[in-house]
Amino acid sequence: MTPADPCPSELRLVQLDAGEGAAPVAARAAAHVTGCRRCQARRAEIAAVRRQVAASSASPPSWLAPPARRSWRRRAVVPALAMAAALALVVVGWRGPGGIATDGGERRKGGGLVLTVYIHRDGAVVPGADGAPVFPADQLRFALSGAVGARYVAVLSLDGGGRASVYAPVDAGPLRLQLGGPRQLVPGAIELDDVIGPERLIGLACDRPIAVAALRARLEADRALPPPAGCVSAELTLDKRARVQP
Amino acid sequence: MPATLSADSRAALARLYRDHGYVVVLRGRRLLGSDAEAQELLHDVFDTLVQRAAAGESTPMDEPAAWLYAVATRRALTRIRDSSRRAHLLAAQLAPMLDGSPAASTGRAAELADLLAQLPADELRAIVHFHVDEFTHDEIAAQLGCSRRHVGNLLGRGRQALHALAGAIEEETHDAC
Repeated sequence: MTPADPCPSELRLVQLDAGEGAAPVAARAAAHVTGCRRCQARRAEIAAVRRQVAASSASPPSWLAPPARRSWRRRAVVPALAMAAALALVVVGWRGPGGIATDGGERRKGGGLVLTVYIHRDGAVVPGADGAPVFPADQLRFALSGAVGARYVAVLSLDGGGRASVYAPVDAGPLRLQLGGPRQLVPGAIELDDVIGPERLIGLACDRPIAVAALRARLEADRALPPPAGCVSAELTLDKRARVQP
Repeated sequence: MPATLSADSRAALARLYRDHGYVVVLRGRRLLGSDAEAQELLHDVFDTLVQRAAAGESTPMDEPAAWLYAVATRRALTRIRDSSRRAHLLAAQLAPMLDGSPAASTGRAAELADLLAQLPADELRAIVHFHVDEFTHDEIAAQLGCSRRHVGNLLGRGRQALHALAGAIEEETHDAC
């Protein structure tokens, strides 16, 4: 491929950049680029995007990285499982009753937040739904969808003992996800402790950073959590049962 | 569907994300029209790959950039079908193939977008690869995993459908005058 040849496609330039493709084809494309200003500009654009993505994601998203042990644990000490190889991936999504979501205290039909849970148990994934049984040491991950745009998100829980917990964000800082398309996995995960009873999960997506500590306290005190202004919420309850010993 | 993701699979996908995630962003920008959409596509694609890996599907690693390019294109076009706004963006890029007919005008982009959303997936991919990406028939065949002859058939059918629409719109426009 010389400068007189037609310009290579974007795919060919990407492969040139990535060192892929048959050697003769790559050599012809490289020769063409050397003498073609348009293709030099296109190749420079590809390289710029590669650098930009590399800079903005120096490390892969948390759901691809090995899980941090502490993020899989909840307050109670439970036996460690072989978590390194485990990630729950069956998708079980649901909305509030009748597809109604709440928005700043107002109930709103359709298009509301959807909280999805992934349940990992004994090396496999089991599907769940609102009211599904879960057991101590089950591991849960969450995903959100339905709301639109970049939103601050959180997942809180109220367990059978009346204790509220913040499941996400797992770190101190606010957690922002781009919602609007398919479900977005919430970084981090939790491992259920041995408190038995209904486990209420509440997902929030807000326009502003969420004061999770204050909301956790309110949830524990009131046993309810109306979504703050500028937030949409979704809620579901899992039925946490004791494991039956064989 | 019981499924787990092995540590090896997770590490391989993390490498793919780090080294070649930019390919998805490139496709997102080109086909979906914005950085935000491109970032969503990036997440969408890797979310799907994680699910596939957990279900036991292997990820080809011979030519990861080319493979990811194909996966990203497929996902981007699926998103286009799901959104009339995105279909409008693609319609604008494809309008030149209709040779300046009324269907290519901004006012009639809605009809073109509708038709694009209705085209069979393979026909739409072939049309986009040829008219937007400037692929050769060989490259389209490699991306779609089919023969050159089939690529010719897909392009022929896709163009016929689009030109039929253009003709219908043109007649409609003349009738209106």
